[in-house]
Amino acid sequence: MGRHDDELDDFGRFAEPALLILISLADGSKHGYAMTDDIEQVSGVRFGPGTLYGAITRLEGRGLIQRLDSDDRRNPYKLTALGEKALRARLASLQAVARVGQRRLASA
Amino acid sequence: MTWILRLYPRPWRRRYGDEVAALLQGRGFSLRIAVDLIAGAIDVWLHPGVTLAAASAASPSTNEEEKTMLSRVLRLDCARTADSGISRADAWKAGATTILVTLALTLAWMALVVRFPRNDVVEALSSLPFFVGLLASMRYTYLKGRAVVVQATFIAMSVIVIAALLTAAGLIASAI
Repeated sequence: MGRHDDELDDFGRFAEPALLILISLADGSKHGYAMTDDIEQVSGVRFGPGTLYGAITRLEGRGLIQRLDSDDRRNPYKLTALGEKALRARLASLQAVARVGQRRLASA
Repeated sequence: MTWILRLYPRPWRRRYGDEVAALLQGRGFSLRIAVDLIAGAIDVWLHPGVTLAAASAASPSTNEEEKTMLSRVLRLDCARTADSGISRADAWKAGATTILVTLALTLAWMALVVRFPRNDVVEALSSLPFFVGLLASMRYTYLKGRAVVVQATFIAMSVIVIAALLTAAGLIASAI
């Protein structure tokens, strides 16, 4: 099994928006507006359209999300199998870091 | 605010323009969103390969025209940096000039929007700051090594022509 937790490493300033987009799409496909609302509810951060679509462009290019056809102007996006693996790996990595931080705080 | 999307390259607009326009629909002017969109446009211009990768991943068979154009842009970009004697420092200077001039003139243009709201001519000039920034940066790239007079004349004439065209477009829009 290959490593997937480094898929977002070279996203630069789009790494955090990209992770939140993957989390937003984890429970089903969404279009840009729904993603923005969902991310705001989850994290308290509301991304501007330039940031949101900068991250979407990169995620789509890596094959981590896929655009679905729609009659509407607002195309929904869904998580791909690769995107799901990358999200699981990144969340596991964050959990490991959080556990270390909490353990150190507890013993301080 | 959809006029800001004109700053994005055409292949990107073809792919995401409608979606972002739908996202902006009904919103009033917001400085935060305007700055976010302008920064996004600069990012897309600086990283054309990202849009190419998205177009390729999305539909290997239906975006041939888009991919061909972006491939040409990338090849031209590589050829230019390899053959023209443009150093890394020149490339940084050109990038910084484009960004700083664009931001400074965009702020000036925003002041005009506040002073003259819903003015078609002012709105038509929205993309002028980016063009001026891009042209100003050319003294470190395409115009490198030319006499200062030649550089200044080329940049000034280009700015005048583009400003005249945009103003004409604004006047036509206000007359319709």
